[in-house]
Amino acid sequence: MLRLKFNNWIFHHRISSAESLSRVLSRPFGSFIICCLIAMTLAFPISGSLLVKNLESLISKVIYEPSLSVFLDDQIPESKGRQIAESIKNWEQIKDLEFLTAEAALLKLGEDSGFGDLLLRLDTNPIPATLLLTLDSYLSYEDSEALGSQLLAIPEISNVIIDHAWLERLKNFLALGYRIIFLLTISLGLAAAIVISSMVKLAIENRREEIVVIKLVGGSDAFLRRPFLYMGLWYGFGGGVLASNLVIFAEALVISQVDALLLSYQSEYKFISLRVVEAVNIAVLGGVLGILGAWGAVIRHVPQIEP
Amino acid sequence: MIKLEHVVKRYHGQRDALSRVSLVINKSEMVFVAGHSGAGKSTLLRLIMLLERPTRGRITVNDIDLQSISSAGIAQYRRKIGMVFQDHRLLFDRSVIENVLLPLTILGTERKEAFRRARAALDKVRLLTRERAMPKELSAGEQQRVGIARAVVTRPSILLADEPTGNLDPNLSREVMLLFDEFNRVGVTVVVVSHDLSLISQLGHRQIRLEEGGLI
Ligand SMILES: Nc1ncnc2c1ncn2[C@@H]1O[C@H](COP(=O)(O)OP(=O)(O)OP(=O)(O)O)[C@@H](O)[C@H]1O
Ligand SMILES: [Mg+2]
Repeated sequence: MLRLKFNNWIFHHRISSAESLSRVLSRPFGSFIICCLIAMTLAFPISGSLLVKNLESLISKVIYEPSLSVFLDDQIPESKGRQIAESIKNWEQIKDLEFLTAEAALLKLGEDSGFGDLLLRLDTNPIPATLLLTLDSYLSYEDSEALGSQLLAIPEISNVIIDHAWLERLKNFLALGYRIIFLLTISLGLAAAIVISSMVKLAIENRREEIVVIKLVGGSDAFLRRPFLYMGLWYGFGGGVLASNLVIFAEALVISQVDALLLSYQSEYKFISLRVVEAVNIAVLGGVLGILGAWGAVIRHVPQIEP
Repeated sequence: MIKLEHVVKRYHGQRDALSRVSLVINKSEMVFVAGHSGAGKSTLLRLIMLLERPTRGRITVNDIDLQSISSAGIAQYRRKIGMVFQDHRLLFDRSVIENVLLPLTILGTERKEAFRRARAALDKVRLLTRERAMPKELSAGEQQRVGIARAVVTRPSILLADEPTGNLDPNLSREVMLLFDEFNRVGVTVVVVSHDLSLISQLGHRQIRLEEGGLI
């Protein structure tokens, strides 16, 4: 009995899905326009998130040059300081090293901070001799931190500061980017669902007579809902597939430009493209949005139609 | 069996469309419902179909008190009753056989079996040769017969018809009435609303006469 019910259920779904698909395909131009509309709303946040992802990896891989300020102990004589500098200069993560005496370090701080005059008027120099390290660009922030603690293990070194203020700023900036993309996704996803909802509402209006007849011969609300839910599914799925293709097309347009640009950086950076899994996810997301939009229309308008 | 007990139906702020109607239609009986326009004939059928709920009173169909059927159960209930309409209510974007298949699709009848039954129903109304035709290619009488095939394809135990011959000429009317008579002979309870008094008397079934919402 249960098995029979299940078979009926499958059978109904097969019929409704095929029927609504043929309805969608029977108006190829109109359906294509609707799918395009949905595709555009979906393509915006997708390409936005790709853009932010690329920015993130581009900045961290190509532009980011991690650097460390290493402060030596106050009591260390200059010669000893230079000796230490020589000894760590050959560490493989270190690309460049500059030794600053306490005076030079004070001067540099004065220049960098703009408080030069003020600092020079001090009686004693609060700044110790300093090593300015530039690290290899492939190092992550965590690598820099590890290197920092390795350096701190040397007894003559009193303090290490990782210059990461700009990295923090970048991270905040990217976080903001992701948040904007998130909001964009939600609002444009909603827009796509609303487009589908109004299309389904129109379809319900157009098939009012059919709905009445089906109710008269004993069709349940679930039976009546099904073809419209499938309609939403097909529109949304079609829109999702189209959106993926739109993004891939746009990528193809910009990718050569970006590659040419990156060549000048002599970087092994690779453009992050839309992955197949993501494209599939977008189509599925489109389908889900379609069902949700259709559901909104069906719940409001189908029960209102009474024989 | 269809049983009405003191049934009152009043539409929004109007006089009673049906006032305290009590009647019994037995299993496998065929009855005609007659009466002037506005007498409440359609209202009677709509109450039995659960297209309306009575304002007061009780209706029992095949030992089921209709009051006990919730709005979620209405669809299920309607599947057990065949209904024929004056304007036949066919779907014009589907072929004849697809129209007849509709109730079976709703029931979830297996496809092959459904086609077999739909053809049998069309055969009974002598339209088997037109199964691929679209409804608009058919005459009024043929359209009505498709409507009848759709009503009986699920082999309901009750068949209701609201002026099924209203749009047909006397010959076609007679043909359609004889069809109902045939179904009744195999045990179907048939209730037919009709104005056609001469036809009613020819067939010789019981008559229920309504006037201004009451039985006479
Ligand atoms: N949906 C409705 N809303 C309000 N009043 C209605 C409604 N349906 C029917 N009525 C009223 O109820 C009364 C009975 O109507 P009903 O349709 O049952 O008559 P009938 O006997 O079928 O008439 P006819 O022979 O013209 O079809 C009429 O006065 C009609 O105006
Ligand atoms: Mg009437």
